[in-house]
Amino acid sequence: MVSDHKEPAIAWESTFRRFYPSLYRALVAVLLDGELARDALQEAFVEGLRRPPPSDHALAGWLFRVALRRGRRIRGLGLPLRLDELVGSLREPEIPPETEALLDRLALGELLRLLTRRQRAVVVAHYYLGLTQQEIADALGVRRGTVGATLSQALSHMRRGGSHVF
Amino acid sequence: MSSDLRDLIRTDLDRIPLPPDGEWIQPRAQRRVRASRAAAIALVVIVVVVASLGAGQALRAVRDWVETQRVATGLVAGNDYVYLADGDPSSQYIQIVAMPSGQSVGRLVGQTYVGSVQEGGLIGVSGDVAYLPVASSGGLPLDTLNTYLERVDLRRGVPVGRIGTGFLTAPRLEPNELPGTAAFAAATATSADGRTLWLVRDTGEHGLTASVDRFDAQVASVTPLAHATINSTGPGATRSRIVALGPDRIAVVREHYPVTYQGGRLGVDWYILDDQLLTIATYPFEEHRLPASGFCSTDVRADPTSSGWVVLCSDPFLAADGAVVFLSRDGSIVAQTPLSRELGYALGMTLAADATVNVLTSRPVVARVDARTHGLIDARPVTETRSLLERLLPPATAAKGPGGPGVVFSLDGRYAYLIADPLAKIELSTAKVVARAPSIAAVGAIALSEDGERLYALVIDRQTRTLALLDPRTLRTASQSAPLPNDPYGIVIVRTPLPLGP
Repeated sequence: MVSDHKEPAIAWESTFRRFYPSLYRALVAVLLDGELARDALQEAFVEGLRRPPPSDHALAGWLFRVALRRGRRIRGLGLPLRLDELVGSLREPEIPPETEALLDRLALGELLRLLTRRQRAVVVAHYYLGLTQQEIADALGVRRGTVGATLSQALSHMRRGGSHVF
Repeated sequence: MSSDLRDLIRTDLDRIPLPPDGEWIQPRAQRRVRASRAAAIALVVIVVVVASLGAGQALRAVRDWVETQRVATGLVAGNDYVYLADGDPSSQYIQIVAMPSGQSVGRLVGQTYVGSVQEGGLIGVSGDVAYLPVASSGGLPLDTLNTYLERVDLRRGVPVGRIGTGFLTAPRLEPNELPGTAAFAAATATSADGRTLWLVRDTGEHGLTASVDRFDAQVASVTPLAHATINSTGPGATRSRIVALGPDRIAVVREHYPVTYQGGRLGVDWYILDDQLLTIATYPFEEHRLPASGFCSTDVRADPTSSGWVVLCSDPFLAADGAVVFLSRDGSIVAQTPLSRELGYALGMTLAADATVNVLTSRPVVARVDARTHGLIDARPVTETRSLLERLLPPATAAKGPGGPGVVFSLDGRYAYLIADPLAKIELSTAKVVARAPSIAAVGAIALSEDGERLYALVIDRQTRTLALLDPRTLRTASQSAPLPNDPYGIVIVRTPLPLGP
């Protein structure tokens, strides 16, 4: 898996630590729950130990996908992301107070609250993690066109609700 | 805008503080707490759902298990004499079978008259002593018969005396008048205390004249204490039965047949007589004063809300609606609750402790009537919770038993045992089949032991007749007799024999 001469576990830990900061922050922005983001990333780390990713290519996308799925499973329903959209209004969890405080300190905090989880995932993956639309589509298990449409909707929402930012 | 947004997002999200790097790959205790909390909540939900939905079934399962254990401990065992009707209807006999051994221990010989298939049922026998009408021709001139009532001790299974009723000349009968018409067409009934005996004889042409006598059963005198005659004008031939309503009330039930028997009855007259055998109420079928042309069960029950009686009327041909009829002590109709013929033929009824009359019909349907208000509470089709495999079998439907009633009720009135295919146990409060007896072939007659702890079924398997002892709780077969001789067709009564003396 990872091209390293050390033991695979040590190599995986090293890789994981390299991606951890950006992935953690991305997951906080998507899941709106710091503790859940830590849990999901830890699960992704364990998953990488158990079944290493097939290649070094797009490791950020792989970790993001695994962590998002683990996050949904930890939280409860474990619905596919498409169904998350359908029932989002019913099951959008409450934001923990510490994460609320964090969002209040961010300029983007209010905008993130306006978006659905899928929209947050697409925006953060694209603009923060720098993933391509195809990588995002693979990570979320949707079509590339859906990623583009979702990104467009998210930007539209953010423009309407974020005049103080843009 | 995109580059501005990208910069803004990167700058802003980079401000999110990271957890201590020593914890990045450490197992998260908090997550386990959260998971265990979710598991606990899920467990509570499961427990609540299972408890609420399955409480009834669980209780039923526990009850069935307990009952099964009781059966396993031998509580179903017990000795009974089962009195079976056999022989040709014109020359009927009663065969006594000891259960559970299944041995035929005796046969009461004589031209008795206990009822036949053609006549719709068997005579009612109650108490510890039965008086069976017998006509004997031994040693007498041709066509002359010596008639008497044979007194049978039901708990010993032996005849213990006779009450002579005189000689008669055998009536000349048309060969096709009525299949198996007895030479001595008579029927008896005894009071619940065994002190009074009533006898009705059908005399004259086609039995149109009924002679009714009341005897003191304790002195076995041949002289009746009271006598009455009831004349019918027809149509057809008439056969009578007698129903003891109480110590001072009887009903004489006269069934009319076509003179040339065609397999059916025309109608039934009911007469209510007092202790002096004076007729105090008359219900001829042609005037339709009783519902269903007078086709009413002789299984008359005491009305728990008055001093009168409850009678179940239903036309076996379903040409008219039936009814539950409430009679007063003077024999007049107090009220009648109609039973639509669409409900099916009413096989029988039982009274619950709360004065509810439960009627089971041939569809089968459980109809409930409030004896206090005389109103129909409801009529519910009998349903059955069955597995997918069992659904391949036909649902419970009543089969007409050739001998005796097609249904008997548990002593507490909670359950009905219905001759169906196969025999079914129905809980009347829920109108549901709660047990079946799939292991036995077609059942011709059923009867319960006196204490209601044993159910007997006359099993007709092609040419073989056997008697099966069933556990009334589960309908499991506890024992079965060897093939019985003389092809019995009905169960007259079940009595527990006296223990053998030293």
